[in-house]
Amino acid sequence: MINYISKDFSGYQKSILWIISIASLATKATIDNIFFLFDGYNSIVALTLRFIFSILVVMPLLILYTNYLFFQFSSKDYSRFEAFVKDSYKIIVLISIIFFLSIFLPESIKLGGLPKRVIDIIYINFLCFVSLYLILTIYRYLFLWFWFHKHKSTKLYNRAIGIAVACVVIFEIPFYFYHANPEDILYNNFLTSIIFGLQFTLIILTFLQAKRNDWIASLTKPQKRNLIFVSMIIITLCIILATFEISNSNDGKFNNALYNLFPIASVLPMFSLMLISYHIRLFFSAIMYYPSTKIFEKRISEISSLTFLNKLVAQTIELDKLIETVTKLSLFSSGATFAWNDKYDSNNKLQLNFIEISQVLKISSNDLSTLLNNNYYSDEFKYSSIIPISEPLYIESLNEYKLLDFTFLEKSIPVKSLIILPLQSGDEKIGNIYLIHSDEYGFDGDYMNILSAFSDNINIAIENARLVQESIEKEKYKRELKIAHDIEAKLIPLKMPEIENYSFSAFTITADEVGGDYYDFVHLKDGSLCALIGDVSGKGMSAAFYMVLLKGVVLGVAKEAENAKDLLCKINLNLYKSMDKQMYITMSAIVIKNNEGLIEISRAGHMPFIHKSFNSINTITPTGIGIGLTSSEIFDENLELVELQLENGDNIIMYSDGITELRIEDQELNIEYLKLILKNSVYNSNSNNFAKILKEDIVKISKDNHQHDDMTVVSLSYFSKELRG
Amino acid sequence: MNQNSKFLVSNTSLDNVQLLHLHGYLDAHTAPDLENAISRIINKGHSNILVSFKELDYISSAGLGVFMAFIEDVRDKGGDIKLCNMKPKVFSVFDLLGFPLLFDITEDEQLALSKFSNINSDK
Repeated sequence: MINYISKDFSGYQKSILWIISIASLATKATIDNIFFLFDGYNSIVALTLRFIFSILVVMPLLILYTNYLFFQFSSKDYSRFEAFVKDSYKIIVLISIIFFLSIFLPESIKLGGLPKRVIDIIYINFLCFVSLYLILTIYRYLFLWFWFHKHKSTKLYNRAIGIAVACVVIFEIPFYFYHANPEDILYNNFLTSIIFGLQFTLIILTFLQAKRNDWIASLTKPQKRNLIFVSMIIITLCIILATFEISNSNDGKFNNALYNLFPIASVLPMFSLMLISYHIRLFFSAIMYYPSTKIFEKRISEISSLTFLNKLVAQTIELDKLIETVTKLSLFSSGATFAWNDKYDSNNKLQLNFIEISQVLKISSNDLSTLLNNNYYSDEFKYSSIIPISEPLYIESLNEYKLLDFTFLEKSIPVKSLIILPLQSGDEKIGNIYLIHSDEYGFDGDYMNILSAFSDNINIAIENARLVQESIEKEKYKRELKIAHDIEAKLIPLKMPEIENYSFSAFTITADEVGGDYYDFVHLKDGSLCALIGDVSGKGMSAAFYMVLLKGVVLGVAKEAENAKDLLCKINLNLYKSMDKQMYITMSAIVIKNNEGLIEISRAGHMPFIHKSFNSINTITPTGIGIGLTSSEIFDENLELVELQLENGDNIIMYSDGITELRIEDQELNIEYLKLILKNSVYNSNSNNFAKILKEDIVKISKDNHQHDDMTVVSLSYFSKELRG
Repeated sequence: MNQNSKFLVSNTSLDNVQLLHLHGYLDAHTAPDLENAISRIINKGHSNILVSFKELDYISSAGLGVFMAFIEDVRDKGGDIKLCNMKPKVFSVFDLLGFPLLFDITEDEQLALSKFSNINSDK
């Protein structure tokens, strides 16, 4: 049986259970007939068989129902009032059928005797079956309702009720066999007193168990009426049913049939008493809650609109749509005749934004907005002084409050009372919602309290929508920056040029997404290779634009340049006029003259070169002014070109000031640090090593410390093959 | 932001010369303060400006740019912007960029002032 209960039944299994139940019923009726024919109707064997078969009829139905209870119904379903009422009507119908059938109860049974005809037996069996079905329905009905409206002692009461029911059944069994005559069973018996006691306990328990009935309060008026009606009928019917069975009047022989012919069905009076007890409680609760329905409904609608608003906060991104929904919502929850909202436009002028009218109005929203625009919002907005800044304003009677004038609407709608609800985004006021009522004192005073909370929530929602909008834009800007970053990265050579006896290495790290540092390798007029480093003043986007400009100019003039100095002069000539006065670019250039270590260097305001030879590290600072600072004459005149003969293993480093200005705990890394790294770098055939070590170091440092500026390093090393070989 | 990041500019009027004292840390964030101070002076019609760097601890590329922004205007009017009293570290920034070739940078405030008065007396 456990197996059956623990899983959902298919239609096939359900029909098997039904067949077992009905077949048992048929078998029982047949057996009854056989005993009847042989005149052994009252024998112990007949009673035992009747008992066994009545259990066989009940068990499959019980299994079906218990299964139904746990699997077919989700708690959500059953806590719905409709399901409850549907079951109530089912019980009413079943009781009515029993009453109807008992009218035609055979005379012999009515008089307390045994059935006289075979047809009587079949008839009574059918009646009993209906009674059983009723018992099970009541059982399920009560149990489910208790279960889904649990309170802390539900478990305890349910157990107590279960035990009491079981006791009643067990106590009835023995004397059922001893006394075939129901008259004796019901009266003059010690066991009977016990059963009555138990039944009384059950009624009390059911009454107590039904204490959780606050769900009645949340019902609508028609639902409550329905409940009162249903309860009344059930109480009446059950009282009749119970007296029918319990009393010993001449008409009350229905119980005879139950006791005699269908033993298990004898618990019907008990169940009907439980039902009475439960419904009395419901009935009085429903009557008590009835007058408060209106206020309760109102609160519910207010709360549900607040809840809805909270959902909006989470979902709505578009500000206008949000305000529109809020306006509709206020109209709905306040019971206003119509509502509209205005919003400040780009000129900081209030403009009618959206209008919503309830269906009772004859005027269309288009006509209404025309009226408002032509009158209320026309020309100067003279009401601005009385429109509240942050708290909602309630004007109970416009007849008394002369500051606002809505007489222009008089022909279409009388405007008698008004609520103005300000809309804010942060501290900034963005508009108002107007709620209009056609009666004086049209709005419930309590509504203002709700409205204050409502207004706070609206403003949170608006702020939220604005923030979301902002973050979307920020995201867009970020993407654009990413694109700029990618483009800029492509302007800087990744592959180092290969030239006999020399090797280059370089890197650049930007402080922001884009930067103003730049390095490049170009060929001059005579084909010699030139390595360049440039640093645009400032950083970020403005620097990046100049860096792109610089790259263009370098590419344009390199082929015409005679030497390093000429290249820098030509760059200054091209850029001086087109650059912002405050902006300048510092640059350095190294040109390789031959593959025996002869190079020339030139510096336009950039950081000094570092020259590392076998036993010394020096800085070289040729004179030169930054690019974009001065005109060609002064620039060219002061730019120095230095020729330098490198020895085998020498390094020349160009770097931007971002490197030396990088701070570790407030202490600037200075040129000495660079020298130190350079000194420690292994004497090696290429300068890759140095740039690599430095980059790793720099990345590590700037991870813990804020990177101030873009950082770039270009390093050249000279190694003669012959000497190496 | 560390303490150095505080930047202050104070203005003293001498006859013919406007003296600007810079304090603290001049970078991209504080450069507008200096820019405002100088443009105020120029708008008042003065064109002889002496900037004292005695109390300036740091200058960045954006700070250097400020002087470039005004020098042409001032010289067109017959005046000048002179710089004086730089700490070695600050001077090295100006020096690297080639400012000594473009600006009159002196060690001593009095010397700079006398240079102004020489020009004026020449006229």
